Formats: sequence, C-alpha cells, structure tokens
Amino acid sequence: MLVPAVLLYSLFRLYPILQGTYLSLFRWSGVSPQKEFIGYANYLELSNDPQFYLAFENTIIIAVVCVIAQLFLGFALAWLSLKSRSLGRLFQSAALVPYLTSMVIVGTVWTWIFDPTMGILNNLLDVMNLGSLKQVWLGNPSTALFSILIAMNWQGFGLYVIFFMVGLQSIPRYLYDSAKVDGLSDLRTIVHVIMPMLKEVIVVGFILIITASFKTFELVYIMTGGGPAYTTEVLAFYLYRSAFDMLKAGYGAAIGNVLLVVALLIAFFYVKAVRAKE
Amino acid sequence: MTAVYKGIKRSSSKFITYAILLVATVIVVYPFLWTFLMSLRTNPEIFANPWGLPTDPVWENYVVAWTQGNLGVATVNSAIITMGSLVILAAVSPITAYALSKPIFGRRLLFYALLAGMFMAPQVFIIPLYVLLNQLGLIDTHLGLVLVYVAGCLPYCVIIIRAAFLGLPQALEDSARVDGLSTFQTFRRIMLPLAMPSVYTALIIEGIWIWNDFFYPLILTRSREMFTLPLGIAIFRGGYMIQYGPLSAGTFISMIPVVLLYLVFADLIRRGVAGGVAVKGSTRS
Repeated sequence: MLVPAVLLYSLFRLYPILQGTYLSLFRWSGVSPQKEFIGYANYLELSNDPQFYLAFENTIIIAVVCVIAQLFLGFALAWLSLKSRSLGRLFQSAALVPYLTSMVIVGTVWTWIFDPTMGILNNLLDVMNLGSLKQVWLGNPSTALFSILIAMNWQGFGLYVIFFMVGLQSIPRYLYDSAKVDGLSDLRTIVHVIMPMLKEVIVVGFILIITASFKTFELVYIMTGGGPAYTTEVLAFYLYRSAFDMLKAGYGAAIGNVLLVVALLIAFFYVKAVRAKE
Repeated sequence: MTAVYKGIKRSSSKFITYAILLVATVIVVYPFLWTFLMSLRTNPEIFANPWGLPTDPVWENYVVAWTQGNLGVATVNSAIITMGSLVILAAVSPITAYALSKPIFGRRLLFYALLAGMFMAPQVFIIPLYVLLNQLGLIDTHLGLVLVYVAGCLPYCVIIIRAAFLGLPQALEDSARVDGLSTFQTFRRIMLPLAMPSVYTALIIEGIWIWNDFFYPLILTRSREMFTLPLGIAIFRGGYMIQYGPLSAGTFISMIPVVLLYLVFADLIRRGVAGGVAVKGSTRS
C-alpha cells in the first residue's frame, strides 16, 4: 500500500536532500562532469562570506517582522471581524485572496504600486499632502527590504485572520460573558482570558510564519533581484544565485544545508509543541 | 458614568471597528481592482493617471497576453501539470494516509520524513533534483514537474487525510471486519467515503499551490513551450518594455481559476488552510 508514495517521496525528495549534503563537499560548477572533493572548504568559505551573513541577517529580519506583524494583524482583525459580523465576514473572505494568489502576481502588482512613475503609492502620498515621504521604494537601499515586507505581509496575513477566527470561535461563549459580568475591559479580557486559550493557534502560526520566511524567494526575485546593494538578499535567493548564476553548485548546496538545519529545527519544534499539548 | 455617555462610547467604538475593517478590506481588494482596471487601459493612459478608469476598454490586451505574451500556451501547461499532479495525488495519498493511521512497521519513520519535508524550502534540494531530472531526461517535461509536485504535496495531503481517518470511530472498522471485508475493502468501501471531505480539501489546496508555483518551473523547464503561467508572466514582464495593459490582463487570466474555486469552495478552502490548527493530534504516531 505504501510502495508508490514511499518510492516517489524517496526518489524526488529524500534522495535529493541527502545528495545535497554530499554535493556540499565538492567544488563543482553544476554543469561540468568534473567534481573536485574539497571536504568542508565550502563551509569555511561560507563562514567568511559577508554576503552570506547579509542574506542570513535579512532572512532573520523578515522572520521577526512577519511573525510580529502577521500574528498581530491576524488577531486584531479577527477580533474586530467578530465584533461586526456583516463587514467582518466580507473582510474575512477578502483577506484570504492574496494568500491564494501566486507570489509572482503579488510581486508584480506591488512592484507597480511602489513604482515611482506609474505607482499609486507615491501618488497617494501626494494626494495626502505627504509628498516629502515619496521614495523610489524598491531602488532605495533603506526602503527596499521594507517594501518587500509590506508585500509579503499583505500576502500572508489573511491566513492568520482565519486561524484566529477558528481559535476565537472555539472559545466557549460563557468565558466572554463571565468576563463581561466581572467588568473586565476588552484589553484585560484579551490578555487574561482569550490569549491563554489561543496558545495553540499562536504556536502553529509562529511556526508557519518562520517556515514561510525562510522560503522567501519569489518576491525578491520579482521585485528587486536582491538589490539594491544586496539589501534584499535572502538565503534562498543567494543559494539560487550561487548555484545557477555563479555556477557554484557545491557552494549552493552548502547554503542549502544551512536551510536544511533550520527546517529540521522547525520540524522538531513543531512536533514538540503539538505533543506537549496532547 | 451616565447611560448616554456609555451609549456614545459604544457607538463610537463600533464606528472605529467598522472604519478599520473597511480600510483593511480596501487595502486587500484595491490592488486586484487596480490591476483589473489597468488590464483595460493603454500605457500612455496609465502613465497619465494611474488611478483612472478605462475610458475606452482595450479588450485586445487580453488577446495580446494570450498570444504574443505566450500565456495561452502557459495556461495549457499549468492546467496539464496541475491536473496530472492531482490525479496521482488522489490515487496515492488516501491509501498512504490510511496505512499511516495503522500501527504498521516503519510508520513513525515515514511520518517524520514527511513532516520534515513539509518544512523545507525547495531551494534546499533543488540542485540535486535538477541533476536527477536531467539524468532521467525529465527536464523541460510535464512529467518531470508532475512527479516533483506529487512528491512535494504528499506530506500535506497525507497529514490532512490521515487526521480524518484517525477521527473516524474504530467501531466502524471492527464491524467491517466482522462482516468479512478485507483490509483493502474496508478502506475502499467504508473508510474512504467517510474521509472524502478531507481528500477534496487537500487536493484543492495543493491544486492552488501547484497552479501558483514559480520556483520549480523556473529551474526545471527551459523552453517557452513548457512555461507555466507564473513563469510565463515573469518572463513576459522581463521583456524589453513593460506593457502594463497586457501584463495585467495575463495576471488576471491566471487568477480566474483560483478565484472561481474560492467562490465555490470558500468553506472547504478556509478549513483547508486552517488545517494547521484544526488538525489536532496530527503528530500522534
């Protein structure tokens, strides 16, 4: 019964993962038949590569910002949606559409929004008399990563609205009511009554957002190509450039193993978190 | 605090709630609307006023996208690859999920292998995967992408469907046994029909994911004839001069199937994406 799945999964997933670990020990262009065994030299190079650190740092920034922004937006908007049912339902349905949209489209549309000539953002700032804030959003090293983060969170937050809706609706009604009877303010109700009940949602959301952050690739590819001045370089994109642009497949595989370790840590954490609950 | 004051306070907080939700809805929806409006305009019009409405709708933009932009071919490719992957996933994942819901040898290992794969960025193994497909002669083919997608989507499908099997009462299976059904018959006739909603959910979610994916086609295809929609759009965009109208049209075309699916199966999709929270005990092994 398990044979087809095991076969497919082993050949097209597990084998490449293991092979990647092996390849990281070679100097190899990815195209030539010659591979030169160089031991851990790729990792040594990695540890001295400022671009790798930059990519790592940016990836971490993305993860931290996305965790905070998406969990906050997810909770706040789910909470408000439940307070006003009709508009809440409409919003909630709309919020998931960006999540179901291809990253290529998200990246393309937001590149246009940020465009200094035809984009609507600068235009909007003009209209609001905030012309001094106008930017070449994606071309300015100090705003490029920020701009990508806007697009990324716009795409992703809807999922967590749904998550928190599910979570909030599973909280028994009488808890809200008794909080009200006790005269607790909204804020206190949230902190002392609601949040502890949403622990699972928060933990799963946290894990999924971190996972998505380390997979950041398409938006960088479409919106900035890692620039300007490498300010939007991230791990997955640096790996791609190393292997397929600079033809350093072995080096790329070494970066892949860094991502592999991260993925295994996340999986371990996930299993532990869900287990602890049971 | 007087009753009147309280009333004002309540209605003003209601107003703020409405205002925030309205602004949030506009921020979510407007970029799509903007893109749609641009798909009916010309470059000079767009540059003159990005907010403007189409004065004389340029429907030709859709024709240009479909033919010159090569998106017609890309749509066919995306459809073949998505459907092909889903057919194989539909055949393979329920039975795998069922087997993994039973105490069989090696299931813990396989389950963790699936779980670890789910958290991995495809970049981790893309280089060896490229080499492998090259050796098998599957680069730049539909089959190559289909096999990669099946392997990639197995973890989510199996985990979601397995949770549905685990949620069914054991008594059902016991009585099927008493009636003399074999394990496979029990699966096929009793258990699978009951777990079907989870199968649809998993397939719809993964179908949307495959339809939208950009990275695998970027690496594993070469020729224009093999491009999928997201790759086609990215390439079309990278042309000499950006034709905003046709490009917006292409963007819109590629979104239609997903939006239709969402309109029809909103609840199923919402439940599917919430799977992460809803699937309790998903790691019980």
